[in-house]
Amino acid sequence: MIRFVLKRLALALITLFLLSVVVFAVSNILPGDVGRSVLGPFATQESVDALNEQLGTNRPIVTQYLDWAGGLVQGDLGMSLQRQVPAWDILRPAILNSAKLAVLAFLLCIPLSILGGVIAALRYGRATDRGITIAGISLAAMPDYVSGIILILIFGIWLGWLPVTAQWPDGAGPLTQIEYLLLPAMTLSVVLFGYIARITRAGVIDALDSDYTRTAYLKGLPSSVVIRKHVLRNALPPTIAVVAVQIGYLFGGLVAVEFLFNYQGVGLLILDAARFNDLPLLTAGILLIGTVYLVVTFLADLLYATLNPRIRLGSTE
Amino acid sequence: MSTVVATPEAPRSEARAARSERIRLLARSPLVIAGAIVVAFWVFCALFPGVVCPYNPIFDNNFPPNEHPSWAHPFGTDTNGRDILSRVLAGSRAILQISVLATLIGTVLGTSLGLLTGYLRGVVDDVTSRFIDAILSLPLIITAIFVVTAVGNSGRWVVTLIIGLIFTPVIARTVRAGVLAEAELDYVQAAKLRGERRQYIMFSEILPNVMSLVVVEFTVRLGYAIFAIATLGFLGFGVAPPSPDWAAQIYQYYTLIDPYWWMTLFPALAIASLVVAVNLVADGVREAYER
Amino acid sequence: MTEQMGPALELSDLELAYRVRGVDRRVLRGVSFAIERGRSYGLVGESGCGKSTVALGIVRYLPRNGRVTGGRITVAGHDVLALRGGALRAYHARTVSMVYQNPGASLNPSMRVGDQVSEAFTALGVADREASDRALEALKTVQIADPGSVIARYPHQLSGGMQQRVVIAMALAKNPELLILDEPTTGLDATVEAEVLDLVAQLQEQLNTAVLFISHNLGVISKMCDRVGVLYAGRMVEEGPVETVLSDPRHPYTVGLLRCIPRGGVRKDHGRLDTIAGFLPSLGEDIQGCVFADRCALADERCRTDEPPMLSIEAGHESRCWYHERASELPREEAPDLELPRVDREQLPLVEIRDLTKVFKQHGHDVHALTAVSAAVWQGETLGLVGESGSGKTTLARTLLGIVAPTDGVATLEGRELAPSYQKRTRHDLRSLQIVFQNPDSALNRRHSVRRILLRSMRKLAGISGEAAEARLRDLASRVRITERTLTQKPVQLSGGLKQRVAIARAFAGEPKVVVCDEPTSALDVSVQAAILNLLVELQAEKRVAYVFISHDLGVVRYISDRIAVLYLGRLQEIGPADVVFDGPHHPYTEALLSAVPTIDGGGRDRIRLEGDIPSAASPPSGCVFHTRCPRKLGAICEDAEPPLVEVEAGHLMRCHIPIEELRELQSKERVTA
Repeated sequence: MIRFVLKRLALALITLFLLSVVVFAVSNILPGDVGRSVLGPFATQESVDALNEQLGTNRPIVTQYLDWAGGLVQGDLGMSLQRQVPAWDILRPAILNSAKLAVLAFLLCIPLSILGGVIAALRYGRATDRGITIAGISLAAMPDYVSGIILILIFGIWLGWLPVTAQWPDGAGPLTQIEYLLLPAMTLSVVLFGYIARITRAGVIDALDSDYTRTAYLKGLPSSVVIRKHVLRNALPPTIAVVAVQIGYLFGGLVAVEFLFNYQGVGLLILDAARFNDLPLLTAGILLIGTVYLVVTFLADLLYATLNPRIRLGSTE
Repeated sequence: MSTVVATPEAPRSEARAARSERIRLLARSPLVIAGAIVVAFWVFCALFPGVVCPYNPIFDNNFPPNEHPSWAHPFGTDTNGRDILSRVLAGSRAILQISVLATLIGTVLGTSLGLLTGYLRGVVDDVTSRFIDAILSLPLIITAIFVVTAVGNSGRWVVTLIIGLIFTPVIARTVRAGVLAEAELDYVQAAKLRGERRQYIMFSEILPNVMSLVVVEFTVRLGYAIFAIATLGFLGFGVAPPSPDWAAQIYQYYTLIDPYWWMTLFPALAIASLVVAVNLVADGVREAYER
Repeated sequence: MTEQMGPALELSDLELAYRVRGVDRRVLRGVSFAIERGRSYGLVGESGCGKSTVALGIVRYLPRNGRVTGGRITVAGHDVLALRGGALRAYHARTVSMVYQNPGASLNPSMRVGDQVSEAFTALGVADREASDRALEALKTVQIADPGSVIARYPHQLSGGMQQRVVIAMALAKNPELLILDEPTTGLDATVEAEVLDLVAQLQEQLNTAVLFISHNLGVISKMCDRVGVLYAGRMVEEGPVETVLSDPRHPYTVGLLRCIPRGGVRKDHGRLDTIAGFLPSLGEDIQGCVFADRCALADERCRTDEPPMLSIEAGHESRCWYHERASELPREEAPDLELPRVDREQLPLVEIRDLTKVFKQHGHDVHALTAVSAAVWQGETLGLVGESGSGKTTLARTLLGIVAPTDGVATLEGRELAPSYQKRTRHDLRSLQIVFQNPDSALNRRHSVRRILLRSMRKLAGISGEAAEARLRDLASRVRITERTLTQKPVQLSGGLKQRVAIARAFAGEPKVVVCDEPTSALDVSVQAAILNLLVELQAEKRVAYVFISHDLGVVRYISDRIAVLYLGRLQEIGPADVVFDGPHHPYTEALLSAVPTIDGGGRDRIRLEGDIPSAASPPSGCVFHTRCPRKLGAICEDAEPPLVEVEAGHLMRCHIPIEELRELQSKERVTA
């Protein structure tokens, strides 16, 4: 188990390092003149040179990377070009906002989608199963903002039950905040429902078809015990791993959903940074998202390992 | 009396052709058929916009603006006084073009990369796999936004290439897993023991056996490509107005959703119909191949 | 438990169908038989005959598309097909148990063994605390080593033999009226199989449970059962007491089945094996007349139109054959006698390995797969390799082929040293050393036609193409008896036996000198196995090729081999002429292996028990590696010093501290026939 944890940790760190290399490489993909692109075509060459000097963008690329990566390790994510403040100061509140939204979305969709997947598997091939499966495929396929628009029209405009923007008034309490976040969270959940329900269903069907389930059933155990202790106990841990991967999709979805609902989270921040060509802020935000993703997958691996005795006790990888 | 000699066994009637079985399976699913019809409809619209659109989607702009859906304009008119139905019917062209091309690029590159890394293994594979992990730790949309920004250009061809490149590692990973499983099989061993070269083993022995995986990946990725391109368009990184692209229309009008909901809703439903249809077909293909 | 009248199991006219593509296909065609209380009944037949379907029908666990379409199943007075809900659960909990192949998959991987066994008791309504006490008792009953610690372990921490004991413990926990064993030892090593079978026999006697034993292995059935039923194409074709059916079979299918099996010390130079021509009718095929008529040499017009009923031969022995009194006259294989190559061991060996050693690195441990193995193979002979799983047989074969490079030692071909890896070998070396794999599904490319597979091998190995290759292809195809039509097909369209013929043809595409056969018949039914063995022998006679033949089936190895090498934990324990190694005096390990094999002919002698599992190759025992399990261990010397491999008789080498004369003395009291 300790070997497993250390191995996974090392892998996550290597991946993170490579991510920083990739991100740095992409952000320098155009050998363009950073000072020029910031200051525009009408600035004097002297001021462009001065800015390049100040930003350090006139040094060799490897030096720049080492300098930048060294800063990252010390928690320095760089300066936002557009706002001239440390990127971290802008990112911190945005992360908090996004986290609120993400947590609410997960709370909404995980119980429902796992339940949906389990029910579909138990009713394999029947109308319930087909209904859930088709709904899952359709919902997962739609771009987040498309389902968001439909939800806004129904609940925000025609029924008028929920606010159509996510930006709550200043000083709003937690309940009001949730009220404002409900529509965007539902939008995110809709996409996740499809993925998670499908994976759960597949896992449960495999477990139902297994020899050990047959053993348990032929012991004469009540169906509820067979399903709980034998089917779900083996089918659900792999689902955890998948749910963790969905965090990644969630971030992808955050961009469109935060934009649609005009919510000041990381997604919107990244979008703005991209619009204003604020590469330092953009790279910082992207690295942050990558890091969160890697941390969550690492934690999910740990959880999965704890639930799976073969990894916890065995020599298998 | 007849002599009992070991005669060669007759071929099994059961085993006849997995391919026709697969096609039959696809053709029997009503969902797959429904999906295929919808996809075919949009492809037709993309190819012959002149046949299906009641008005010119760009130049017929003399109708009363901001009209509710009516008999004359079933989907209403937009702020520029154009017929939304015509614009929706003409709007599938760009997205289909980009997504099919991008998926093709991703599939070809990803399959080659997966085949190479999965068969050759070793250091190259280890390093590539780590890089793939790193790239895949970012969501597709964010990577796309990032690269588009870094390149400083969101033209149609650039977006196509970028999406194709982003798909490459995903497809490579799937194909690699398939190749690893195939490489364990004895027919590969047998090929090595008759002195075959690597290229032959990879392309003539293994590739045909992972092709079904590639076909499944292609259909599934096509769905994601449409998803991604539609999202990029909505975020303002897509086809520029006045071209009648669905996502561009939504980007343009979604702030007016209250009260001009029809300007946003109909393009949104069009996107929904296309992605859901592609995914229904993809799901059918996946099931037919994975049985 | 309430006393009920009637037999433990009674099947009457059971009809069962699988729905495939909207059509019901008959799988069982009116199967009837009964098992008296406390007796054991064997059900035999080749794959696809419906034996497992019978079992799943009895426990009411058919696949989703399976359905009983007629007949009755009665277990200890219960009308099984009428059971619903709680009554069905009670039937599972109290009346019937089932053990199946692959114990590893039968146990829940994420639940402790103790809890899983306890469940069998809680299902009976026993309180949790008491259930876990009784679980411990149950594990003691199945004689598992250290039951106290086993309860706290997970299935993956147990060996295959131990896992099967746990499954048996669960099955017997309720003291069922009927225990169904469906190929319970298939996939286990012979020594482990023997232990499990002994255990089942012993417990059955103690508990007086009725047993339905399903197996393709007639030896196992002969050892375990009182009565036997032979199933063919979903139809019972013969039934009776085991000894009678096996010694005096009255259905041509049973006769054919028994003749296919190499046994009683029969060897390739004694003649060819009989086979059963043709194929099993396909699933649900409509059959007029006798189900076996198409493949039966005795069949006439009557057989093809009228199906015979079960005809009584004597009390309790019935056969579904119009001509059952002539069944033993079923014509034998009539083929011209083969002239097997004369092996000249004065000459240079064709292939020789010297001190071949292979150490794998695994999780930071050294795994000694092979330790200083030396052996030689001469032109035209077969060297059989035997040993339990993990003994190094396959590693030895792969090292010879260059798939695995040895850590130390060399292999030579006609006196020249072979490159350690196939990549460095010349075309001549590659064509000289070829292989036939165990599983033809894996060995043949699914996407290539048979023609393409064979032509490619000719081009690469023999260096011929075009018209020359076509001519050669026709010749090769006729030698391995594959038709023109087969050549155009892809492997999925072929039966298992046909696929293996293609694989053999491929190995022979370039005039090989040595062909490694790695369990080439273990995935096949016995009738197909016989045809493949015949083919291999024919090819050897024609081409004077040498075989290195790996098999866990000692009967098969004895049939085809001229000399036998016995491996244990990567070390050569014994090598010598086949007859000598089999008839003894032999190494104590060989002795144990031979005595573990259940034989059809019975053979009344106590089995030599091997204690425990094969030790890990990562930390092999000191001294003689076999000392931890050796039934004839002398004492400290075995633990301290590894005995040298010495020539005890002409051409017979052995690695044992016990002098050969003493072994002869000890073993002569107990003759074994394999």
